[in-house]
Amino acid sequence: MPDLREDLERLADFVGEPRTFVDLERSRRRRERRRRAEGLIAGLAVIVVAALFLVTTFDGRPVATPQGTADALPTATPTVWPENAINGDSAERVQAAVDNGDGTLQWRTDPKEVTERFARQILGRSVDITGIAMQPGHWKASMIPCPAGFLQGDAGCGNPEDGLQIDLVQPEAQGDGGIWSVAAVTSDRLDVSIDAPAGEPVAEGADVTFNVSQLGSSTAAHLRVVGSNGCNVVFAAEPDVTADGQRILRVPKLYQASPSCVASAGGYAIAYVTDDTTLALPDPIAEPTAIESPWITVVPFAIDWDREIITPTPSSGIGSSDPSGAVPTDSPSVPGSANGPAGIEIPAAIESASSQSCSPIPATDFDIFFKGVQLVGCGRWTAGTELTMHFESAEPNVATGLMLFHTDQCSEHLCRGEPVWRAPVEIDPPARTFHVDPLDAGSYILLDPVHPMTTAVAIDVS
Amino acid sequence: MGHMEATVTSETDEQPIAFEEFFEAERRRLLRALYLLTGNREEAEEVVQESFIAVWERWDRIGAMDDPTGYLFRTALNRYRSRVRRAGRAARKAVGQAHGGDRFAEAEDRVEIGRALADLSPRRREAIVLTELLGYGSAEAGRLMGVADATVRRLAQDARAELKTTLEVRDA
Repeated sequence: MPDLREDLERLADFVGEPRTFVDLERSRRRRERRRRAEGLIAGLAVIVVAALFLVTTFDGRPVATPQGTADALPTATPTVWPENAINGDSAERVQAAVDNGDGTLQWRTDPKEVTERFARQILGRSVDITGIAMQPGHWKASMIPCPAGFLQGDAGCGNPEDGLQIDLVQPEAQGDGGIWSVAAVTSDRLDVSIDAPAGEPVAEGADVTFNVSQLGSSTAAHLRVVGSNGCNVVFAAEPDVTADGQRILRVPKLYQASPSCVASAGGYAIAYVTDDTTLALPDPIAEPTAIESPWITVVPFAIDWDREIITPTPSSGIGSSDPSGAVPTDSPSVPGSANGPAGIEIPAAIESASSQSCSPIPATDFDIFFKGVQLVGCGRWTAGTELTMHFESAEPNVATGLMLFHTDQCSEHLCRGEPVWRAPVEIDPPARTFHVDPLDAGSYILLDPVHPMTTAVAIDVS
Repeated sequence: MGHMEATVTSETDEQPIAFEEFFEAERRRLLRALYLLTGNREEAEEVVQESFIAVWERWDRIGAMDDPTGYLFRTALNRYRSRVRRAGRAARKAVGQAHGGDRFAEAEDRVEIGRALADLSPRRREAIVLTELLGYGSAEAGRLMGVADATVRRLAQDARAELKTTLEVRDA
């Protein structure tokens, strides 16, 4: 269709001239006036917030770092920024560079500067620090993020209700020369609690409870629990939660191990807010994003991971473990059609899609993308209708395939028997489209027989 | 199952351009693209304004990025998608079933290509507008859409095929 571009250009010509920069300035001023008006309404709240901060800081109330406080920092305190378990950056290396006189990193020894840089780079705002409390190795501040164009201390610098608390720790060395890292950020509007004893690593599968009931109706919260063992990054997420109470996500299982995995695993739970017209980007800590409202809560954690090596190798029997730590075999050979008496091992206790936060809208078009990343998810398909499945692998020379089982065929750990539907295991082409014949209503499990421990997806057909 | 893709944004030592200059350089292109996506001038203009304001408020950071235009277009795409989703939610509440929220069918210009474009799914429409109208390669379009470049190629290919079929049927 060689003329398509011309056709599109012609159609786009109908839109005419865009509004001018003067119009944009006017819109922005209106928006800022609205924000300031909201700030005035909440004026009383600042007194309450400040008073509460003074009363509650270090009065024994646990701070937002479930992995420890300044009083009892574990040996490897999880942090959020700049170093965290996902980006794999090393506080030890930074501390060593500072100790060796690296002038470009001297800012890391000033907790106020670290706080301000975090706000600039992650929130996209400056901050007005309204209260500081300090103990050896632990710095805690109350701050109000300021919109662009406002300076710290300006009367219009943010709304009191936008206030955040930030916890910094010195992960390597306490005192003047020790670097500071952000250990938690807390908004009173976004409560995040992890089901684990303070200071202890959390278990894979542990509940993370998000309470977003304090949000207004025109906002949406975006929730994510992300973990990594250095070779897998896994996550559970629920974007676009409007103000209606609690959500629970679970710390994802890390599964595969290989020699490239780090010795310790960790991650963080994050909740942030946009207005309800903005689609969330995955992770504002990992990449700049358009955070409309400066409310964000981030809680890091260590994961209790036993480095169990689970590498299903079709040739040696699905579910066998390879103590050498080899990555899964990518041989195109697959289990027999009956899958043998052992069956195909799957992650334990896959919940049905209906008990997970799947889209309520049944799909007739389904995308699956394989990128060597463990992801246990869910989907909802339409019963009695042919389904088109787009399956794509980003891993070169890795064999992949698909099998669909009734949940009746699967026990807690294994799926057995002839799958309801299957796509052959192949290396090429990387992108394939399949048509799945109409299915009866019910619960199914879709998995890649070559990588079943990393790709089991609960499907509800309704 | 989905995919994870980290977008790395690096900062440069170059002096960032002034926001007004950036606005003047991008406003027409963004409005035209959003018009094709929304099928409605007013809605397209609203998304353009919202997106530029969001970028302006963070210009000290975004202006120093390698690709502030990419950030702008991604912000705009996110806002457009949210509107589609909200329109879908509102329509479901009203009639109890999903509704595409396409407005092209109601647009004043009834040219064939406009109606054929309206029949595309939002994702296919995004892919074809980014690659054909804006001239992005599949890798760059993939970064803006948050999908793999192979997915962009498939979506754009499917969109072309669907447009061709739709236009042929209407011509017959």
